[in-house]
Amino acid sequence: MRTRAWPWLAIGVSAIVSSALALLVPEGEATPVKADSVTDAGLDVQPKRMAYSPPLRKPAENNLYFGDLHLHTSYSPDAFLNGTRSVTPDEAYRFAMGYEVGADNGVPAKLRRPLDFIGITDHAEYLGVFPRLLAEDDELTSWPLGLEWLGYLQRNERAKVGVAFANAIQSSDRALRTPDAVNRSVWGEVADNADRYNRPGQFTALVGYEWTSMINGDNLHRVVLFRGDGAEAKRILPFTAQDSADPEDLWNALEKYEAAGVRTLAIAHNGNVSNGRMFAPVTISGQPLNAAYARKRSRWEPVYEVTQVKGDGETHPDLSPSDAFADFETWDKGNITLSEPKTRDMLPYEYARSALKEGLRHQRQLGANPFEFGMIGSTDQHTGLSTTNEDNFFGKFPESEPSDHRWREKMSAVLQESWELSASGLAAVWAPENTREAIFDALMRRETYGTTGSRIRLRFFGGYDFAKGDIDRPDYARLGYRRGVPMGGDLGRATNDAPPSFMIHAVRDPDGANLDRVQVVKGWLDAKGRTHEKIYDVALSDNRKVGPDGKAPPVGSTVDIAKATYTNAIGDPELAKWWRDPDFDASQPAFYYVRVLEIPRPRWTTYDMAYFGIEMPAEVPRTVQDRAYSSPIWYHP
Amino acid sequence: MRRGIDPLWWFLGSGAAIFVLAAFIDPDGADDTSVIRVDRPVLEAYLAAGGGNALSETLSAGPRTLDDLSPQARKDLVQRYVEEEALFREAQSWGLDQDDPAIRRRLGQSMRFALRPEVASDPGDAQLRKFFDANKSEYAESDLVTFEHIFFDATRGGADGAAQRARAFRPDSDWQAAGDRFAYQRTYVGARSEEVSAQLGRDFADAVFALNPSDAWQGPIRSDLGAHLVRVVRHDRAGEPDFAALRPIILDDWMRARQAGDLEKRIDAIVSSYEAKVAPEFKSDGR
Repeated sequence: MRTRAWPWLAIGVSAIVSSALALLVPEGEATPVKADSVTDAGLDVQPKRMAYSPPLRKPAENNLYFGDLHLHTSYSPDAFLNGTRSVTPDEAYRFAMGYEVGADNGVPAKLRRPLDFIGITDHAEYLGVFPRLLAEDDELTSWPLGLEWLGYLQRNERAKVGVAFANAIQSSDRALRTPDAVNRSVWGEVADNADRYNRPGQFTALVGYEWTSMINGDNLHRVVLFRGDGAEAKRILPFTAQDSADPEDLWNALEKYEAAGVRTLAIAHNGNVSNGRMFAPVTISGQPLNAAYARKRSRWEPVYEVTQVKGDGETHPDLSPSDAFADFETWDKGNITLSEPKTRDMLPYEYARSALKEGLRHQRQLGANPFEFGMIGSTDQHTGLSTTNEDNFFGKFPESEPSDHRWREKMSAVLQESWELSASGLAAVWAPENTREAIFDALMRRETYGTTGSRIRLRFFGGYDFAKGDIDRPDYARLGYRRGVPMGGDLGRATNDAPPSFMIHAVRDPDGANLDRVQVVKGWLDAKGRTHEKIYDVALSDNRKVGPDGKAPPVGSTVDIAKATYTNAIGDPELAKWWRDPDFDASQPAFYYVRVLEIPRPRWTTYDMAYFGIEMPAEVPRTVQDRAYSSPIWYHP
Repeated sequence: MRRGIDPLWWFLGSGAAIFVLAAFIDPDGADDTSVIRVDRPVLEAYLAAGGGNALSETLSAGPRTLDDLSPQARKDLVQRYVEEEALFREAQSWGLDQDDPAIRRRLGQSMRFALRPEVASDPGDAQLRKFFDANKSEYAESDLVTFEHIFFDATRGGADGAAQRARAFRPDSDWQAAGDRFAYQRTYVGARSEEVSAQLGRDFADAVFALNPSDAWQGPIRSDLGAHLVRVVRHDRAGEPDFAALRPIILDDWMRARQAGDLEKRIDAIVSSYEAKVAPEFKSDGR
């Protein structure tokens, strides 16, 4: 095992490190790969391109930025058809930057704090077509399909548009594609728009789009994000689900972009509505996964969107029966169109935790890990308004924008009732500065985490040279980078087979709830090829201790449901811990990631009950414990 | 000599004939609101507009016409239509559409969208500059500060103890290893005042923004959390907003304002076509 894994480690890690450090390392210079110096190289080498902010040209500790990498506006056909019309990309950018914007249902909206970055990712299929159709754009009305759709729109024949659209979006028939001239002009507008709102150092607007593959209604969606500016992005046209619904073809297309000097990455989401397809052990064509597939997937999809408005994707209670917090905003009725119900055998191929375990298994068989991804959260909201706070949530479509009846309105008129929507999530990125390049590179090296909406601050380092007291040092982060790896990194086997240790530092959202606990989630592969998982409560608030039964006493609740309030009288604002794996076996491949839980607070539906003075049935959860999921650190024996 | 038929009979007779005729032509009675007519055009329109179908049905089966439906599905469709229509009419006759704020708002919203004016074209520099001058305060950037700080935790020996330990710091030593672990950033880059206040308190933010950039450590400055030595690297003062640099944003804002203004005008035109009779007690003299 040891001799087999190392060559891969060298390839895998250097691929990650070289892409991550391309900004910092002069071209042609090899990056030495040592488990304990992966990030060190990046910090001490003189940057090739100067950082925007002078004090950060030699970053010591990186900065934390919060944003949303998955948002739709009126330029997405489904958003438009569901009523998102006045919130255009312009309005969406302005809202993310902190300005007040009117939601499509007329309610004014404003964020408590602006986002640091955003990727507006409208669907590539018929991108921007509907607003132009309604404006009776000449190019579009001379296109037969466009004219037909315009007729439907004008006669308000919603189902006809919906069916024609759903049919066309998965078709390779050229007659059903947006005319090239329109496509190019809309894409140019999207790219230029991102440039107009991008403010290096203050607010980053990444160019992006969504590739909307859903085979028989099974969700395989990915967003595609660009590292460069609008001019660079305009050198290509979006690869769409009409080109191919197979993710392998998308990666091949991204490879071609790269050859043309256009750097991109892809982020998959909503395995929970993929009916077992997202992390399946077979390809779309039914072949078992192979090493080339594994390398390609991990190369192009460094992070996974683990939480968003359509439910949480960390794990499922059936997959993790001993995890008391596994049933969180669970969506398990069926696939994305609800055309096929969910069955139990699909679950292992839908959730992040089991996919990470599957990855270890594949790696032993293939020599490469297809599911070696970090974590982010994002919203996937289709209102143009990126909102993730329980008390400031603007829903998924205009029908779930704030009103006294939104909770029972069905999503897109026929899907789940809106109370099931989750006010989630955010992408947190550790980067030297707030620029497109720095954020993109942090995603590539997986130094990211996801939260289910609040701005929990989380640091996580793994290594072999951390002493117990190091986490209490003021410069523990500098130490973490120098002597170990940050979240998203890889650790090799120590010469003496010693267990790795970890430094974890979690701080509550300055505007939010105290913390309940910090947990380490470990997954590993035994000699027989079976995977396992275990959760360690490594830090508990209020001086609680794990009992002899291995369970931690619950943190309690300060939530007043009638008033929709809570207080920070329980929990801790900050939890910091050095931790070493007590069950370590040097021969077993493993991953470790951190989950941070907040104390309970009123769920968005409870705020609605109090604000509108309405009642909801008991099945609607009253409280929520928002959380953060770090990218894993992998151990390769 | 026969008397002619009384015109009254003529009248009654022809009336009866019309009724008989009408019953043949339209046996259900044309103006009877309790009749729900179901025919091909009605069903086709209903199917096109959603028809109560689940999206899953429509998506999995592809586009459907009335003729594609099985007899059972057609029967279901008819039943659904009749039920929906019956409830809709009954709700109308109860006046539920009059009192439902959701429906009223929804209609108002559709109206606003329908009234939305075309996007205006670039009005040229002169007009934009006028708009810019009138809204200058909107374009003022905030000051930005870039600084590092060494934190001395007040929970270890109180606020005074923290300040004392801060004063004992030797400037030639490794600053990153000095002091205590800080929960948030130790380096703030191009931070706005609100960002610093959120994590360190308003007083601290005000104090840092009042310092001049210098290589030296300044302070200690107290926050809610303890004492801080601060090294201000840069203070970017917000200059006068520059028209040329901001032009694309100003154009955007002008168009938005123009569109909103035009929309209000169209709404006002509709409103003024109605006469609002307001009870005297609600008539204010002020406006």
